[in-house]
Amino acid sequence: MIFNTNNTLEKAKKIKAILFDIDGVFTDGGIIYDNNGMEYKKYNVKDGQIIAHLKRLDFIVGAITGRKSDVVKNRCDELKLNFHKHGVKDKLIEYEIFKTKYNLADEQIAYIGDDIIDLSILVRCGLSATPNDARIYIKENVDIVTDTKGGEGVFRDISDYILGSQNLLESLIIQSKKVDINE
Amino acid sequence: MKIIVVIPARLNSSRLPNKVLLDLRGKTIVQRVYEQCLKVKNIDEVYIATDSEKVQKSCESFTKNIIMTKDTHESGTDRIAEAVKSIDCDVIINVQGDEPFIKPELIEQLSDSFKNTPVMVSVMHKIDKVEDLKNHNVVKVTVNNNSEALYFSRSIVPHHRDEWDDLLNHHKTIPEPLKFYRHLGIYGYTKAFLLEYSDMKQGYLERLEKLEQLRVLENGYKIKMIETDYNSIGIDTQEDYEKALELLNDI
Repeated sequence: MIFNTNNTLEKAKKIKAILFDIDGVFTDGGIIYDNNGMEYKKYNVKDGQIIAHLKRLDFIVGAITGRKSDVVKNRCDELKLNFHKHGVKDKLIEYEIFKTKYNLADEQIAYIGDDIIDLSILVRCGLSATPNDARIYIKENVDIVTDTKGGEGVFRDISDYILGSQNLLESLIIQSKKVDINE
Repeated sequence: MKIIVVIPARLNSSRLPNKVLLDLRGKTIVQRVYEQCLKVKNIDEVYIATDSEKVQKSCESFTKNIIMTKDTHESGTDRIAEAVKSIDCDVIINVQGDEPFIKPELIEQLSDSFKNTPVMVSVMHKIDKVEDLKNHNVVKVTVNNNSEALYFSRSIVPHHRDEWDDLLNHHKTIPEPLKFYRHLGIYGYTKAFLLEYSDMKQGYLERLEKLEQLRVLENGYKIKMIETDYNSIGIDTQEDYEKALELLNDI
């Protein structure tokens, strides 16, 4: 991972909620259309796996996407995200609503996004991250650039980093060796 | 940014039956509201939302922008939320159907304030008469230094500890430098917030005061208040209606 700010670890320690963009972060940005107008996207199971653990540890997890499709809505429901908004034109408004709804400060929210529409949140939130294949002008505006590209486990990388910074990752692994906590 | 005005126009008003369809010199009250809203420069569309076929029929003579809503909504906010769900827009301005003298400039000011991305905006007017202060139908609002609402109440807020009796018993108009504000029921919301708002549970304070806007504050959200010199002439009673007719004669 590339760290653009030198207090990233301190920032990560304060995080209580992780928000992310879908296309280009949770997926590689590709969208497959069939003749009936149906959309298909490929998700990475590594991203989905960690969400149950995050939620069990009282993290709030959410997605804000500019696009609107059933396939994404279904995936968000399946992952039991606390918050997901689709077809959003101004992400900052949804971010402000999210903040108030869960009584959070900017410092407590991590955001992962990869495009211009995400910038307003990236520059405000407590910890900002973008995938390795984001444009240079996005990379310049975040705390962390992951080694992974969109759809390759970007969300997992940031989640692990945050869990690690709060000494939660090690205990999670130790516990998991003894019991199955897939909920 | 696409900004629309929605005018909720209900027919069953308890104090003044059929009020939005009452005639004000050749035009219904709701038509006058609609025409005032059309004068606003930075608005994309104006809609009338109603649960009544009678209102629908009447309004069809001057507009196609009529949205039919269910008649089961518990609150005005729910009605507006239902109305705009399928409309592509970013900001909704809610102007009551009984405000035929609403100033276009005020709506313009309201929609301009969304450049700074607040989630909800409303309007207040400085109270002149002590009589209005005592009236429980005149909703009072207090604000912080950023002009964000701290509380809405039918009681008098704030209390004036040192000169309370003097103020209420010996004054007809409110003396300087005291300031009390009346809340006017004109709202602007981002669509995202409106949908969130209609999902929130009714709050304790909201139920006590019978003021829906308190739900927003009870859930921790802010309402930006704009001060205006426009004094709402909402039409609630026969007396209000007669006053409105007189006012039209003067113009």
